[in-house]
Amino acid sequence: MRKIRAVFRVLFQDNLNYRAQAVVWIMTSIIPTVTIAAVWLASYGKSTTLGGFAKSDMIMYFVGSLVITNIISSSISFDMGNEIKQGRLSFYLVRPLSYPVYQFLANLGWRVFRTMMFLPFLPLIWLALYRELNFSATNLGWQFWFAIIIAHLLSFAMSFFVGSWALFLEDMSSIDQIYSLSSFLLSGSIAPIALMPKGLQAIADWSPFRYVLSFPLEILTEHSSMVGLNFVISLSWLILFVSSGLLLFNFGLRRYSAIGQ
Amino acid sequence: MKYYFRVWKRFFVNAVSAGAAFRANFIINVVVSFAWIAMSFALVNIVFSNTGLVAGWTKLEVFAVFGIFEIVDGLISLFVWSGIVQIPQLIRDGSIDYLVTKPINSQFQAAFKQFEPSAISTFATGLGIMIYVSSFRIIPINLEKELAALFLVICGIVIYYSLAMMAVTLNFWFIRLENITALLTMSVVTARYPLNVFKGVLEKFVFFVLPLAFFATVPAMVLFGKVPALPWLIIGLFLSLIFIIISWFFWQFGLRSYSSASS
Repeated sequence: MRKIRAVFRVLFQDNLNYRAQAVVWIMTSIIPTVTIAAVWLASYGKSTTLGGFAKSDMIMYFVGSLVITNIISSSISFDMGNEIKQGRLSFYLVRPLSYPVYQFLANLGWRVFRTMMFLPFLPLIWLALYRELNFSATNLGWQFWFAIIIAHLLSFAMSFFVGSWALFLEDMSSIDQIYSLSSFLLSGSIAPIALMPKGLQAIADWSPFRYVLSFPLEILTEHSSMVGLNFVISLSWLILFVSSGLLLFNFGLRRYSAIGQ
Repeated sequence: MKYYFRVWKRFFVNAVSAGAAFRANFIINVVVSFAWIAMSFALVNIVFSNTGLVAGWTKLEVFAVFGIFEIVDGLISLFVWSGIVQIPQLIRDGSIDYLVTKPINSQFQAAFKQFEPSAISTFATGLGIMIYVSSFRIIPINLEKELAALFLVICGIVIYYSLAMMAVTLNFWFIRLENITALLTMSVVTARYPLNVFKGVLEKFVFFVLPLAFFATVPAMVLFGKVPALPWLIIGLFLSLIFIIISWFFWQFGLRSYSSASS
């Protein structure tokens, strides 16, 4: 435990060098969400609901999406791929903590740091939207927070799984692209899953991507059903991705070779 | 002018022969750019499966905005984008030295040295979308409107170039701001949607301050006769002149605070 605390502290402090970049990353992730939300809100026209979503639900959905994609979702696969390709993985192998744990702590440090940098944006969002937000139809109970924790762990596990392919492939960027495309379409980032056409909805409902973003938002905006069953499904996805990610990584590590440095 | 054209032709030939060495990359880039366009189509289809009109646009009209955007984006990516995104790196490692010591404008070299052949697919997709949309005969047959829209597209390209240039010029002062190009990409792709979905201050902002609306929304508004052409032509001309001039001076100003990293 002391080891973990020390490593976390170092990794967290390391982030302080990247304040300007963090602000740029936050803006980068805010822009598409705001645009997509604007497209949705413009499509209400004169009607007050759209597929069962009141306007205030829709706003709450995308505000939630903004916060979750900024604070909770992890995307380590790209950097992990780079580290492996450039042979920097060797540094970690000789350290006292295993690489997956190291990655997890580094990512957590970055998330905490990003949360701190994101805080000043919250009053701005509130100022822009407080007239439209309706907190009476919002569920911020334990189910929401539990779903958020699963969402964080699952996004990390999936991203780690994708990144591990770098140990096997010359160029893992195509896998990374497939991953981000599917996540974009199926996680609920472009539309609440309930508003998707039936075929796509069926795929999205069962896909792991749903539990990274859509599921906590469904709970938040009170558009969820069978919460218990969904917790079981999301935990199963989590176990599946953690175990297959570790399996893939450890198997790939045996083939890993780096020169120099 | 003739000299610049000759130099550009040389850049072009070099870039194409360099690109030909990485053919697999070419295919991957084409597939990836198609996939992202398909995602935007998916979003529009999902939205329109729940409603008939978005901010006064029909589905086909929104597709036309897509088409115009892909044409503009395709041309920019084809000729200047890959050069522009390398500028932060050139500033960081001191390679700007090589540009400023040559007897030709440094901004011209930095922007036009690279060439991205795979972007031809983006351009072709844009044309394809426009042909598809016009097969429904929703575009009025009116040469004046079409020429006005074309002129606005050119204004959009000039503004696009200037914005990108200004963003990377920031790197002269903020050396570690390499992800500015990611922010730029994300901002630019919002121009794929009709930007009057934004309301109030935000709408004014994307029309006149950071005029992303001129990449596709404004040309489409003029093409479909949603707004009178003349005032928008004047605004377009004015904004593109202002932006190209500012980006020019900004670059010169940036060069003055450039301190080489090498030697």
